[in-house]
Amino acid sequence: MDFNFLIVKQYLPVFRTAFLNTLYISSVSLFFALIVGVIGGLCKISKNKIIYSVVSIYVNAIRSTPLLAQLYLIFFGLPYLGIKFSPFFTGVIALTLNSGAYITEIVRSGIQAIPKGQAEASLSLGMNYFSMMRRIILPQAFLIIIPPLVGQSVVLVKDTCLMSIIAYTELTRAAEIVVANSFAPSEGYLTSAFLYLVICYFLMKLSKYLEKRQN
Amino acid sequence: MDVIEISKHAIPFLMKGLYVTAYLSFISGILAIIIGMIGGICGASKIFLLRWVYSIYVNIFRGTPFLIQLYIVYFVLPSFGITLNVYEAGIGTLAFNSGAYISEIVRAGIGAIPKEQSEAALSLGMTPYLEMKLVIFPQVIRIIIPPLVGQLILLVKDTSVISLIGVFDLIKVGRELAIASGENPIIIYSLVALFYFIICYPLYCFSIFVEKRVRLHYDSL
Repeated sequence: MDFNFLIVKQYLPVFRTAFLNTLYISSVSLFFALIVGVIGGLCKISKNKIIYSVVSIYVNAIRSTPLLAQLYLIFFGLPYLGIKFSPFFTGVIALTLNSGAYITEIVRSGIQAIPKGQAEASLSLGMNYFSMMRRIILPQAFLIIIPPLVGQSVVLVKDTCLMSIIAYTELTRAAEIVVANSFAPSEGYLTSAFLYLVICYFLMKLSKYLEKRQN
Repeated sequence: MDVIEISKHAIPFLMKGLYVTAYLSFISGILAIIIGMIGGICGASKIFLLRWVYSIYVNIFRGTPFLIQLYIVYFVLPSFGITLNVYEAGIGTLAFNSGAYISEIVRAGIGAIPKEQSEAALSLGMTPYLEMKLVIFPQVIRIIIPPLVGQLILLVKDTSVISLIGVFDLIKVGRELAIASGENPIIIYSLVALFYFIICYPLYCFSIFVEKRVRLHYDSL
């Protein structure tokens, strides 16, 4: 066992940047994924067959293929078509599309958990579809879906590790940089793992706490 | 047609990769189920020490990305004197990673069985082992199959990450094809995604089917 804290200390700025980058790309992707998820969830309960099938195909296609394949498709495929994005932007697109599919299912199940009477009551009060969703259904559904949503954000934070292969400096990439420069695999990888653990453990506790409070 | 030409060339190679992916998934899936069953029983046990070890194991594996775990096993363990080849490292890490999630599923499943069941079994004079085997587990299996299948789908998808330490599975073969032969990456990676879809989508349908059957069973009680 040889764990040299001096190496960790020497590369502390790298780890700090990477830690912040991980949080940054996770929260930006989560924000967009939430938008995709809410729109997708609403489409998934729509009575329009075409809208429903398009979203179902999207969700099934994303859930049945690995994120790595999606990432390769976006990262190597788009430049082939002549579209070039920065690593950060490529990562955000991949993570948004991926998490969006899972959040779509979470939102759908949340909306369907609201009793039908609520929708009927608001419609009979003369509300239109939009204000019914905004004022009555979504606020209630949101309370139900918060714990699984936090759970999904843990998955999202862990998925950012794949952004290291497109050279975005997040925690995994930082570990690779440290290992390449100082040839100290334990210091590099274990420190990154610890930092991931800090973020994810906090989120997992939060999710458990919210679930308990709801019951 | 371009697409057909490229597919004709690529599919024989991808089939070899598919075989490796299936092999990785199968072996690590079985190991993960075994680890998950043992872990779940430890997590639901009354012995404090077992529950403590269990929660450390589950939190560490669920709180860090699979890729980092893989790198630690493959690059860090050698400095502790444990050297594994890519297959051992990949399968072992994946089994322990999925095993952590399956443990949680099994633990929750055991927790969902009413306490009276276990009390009744014990008052009939069963040993704890017999109680688990004859009373608790048959009921737990029925509850956990849908989430278990869901977890196995994630496992199949996670095998793609093992390619990053150099195993020639489906996605690595696709990547080599796209780089080495300079073929249209969109077609190649779409084919790779299609292969994964062919494995995972039937599993999804199966898990939804089982979930419906289980719900029907409970509604009829």
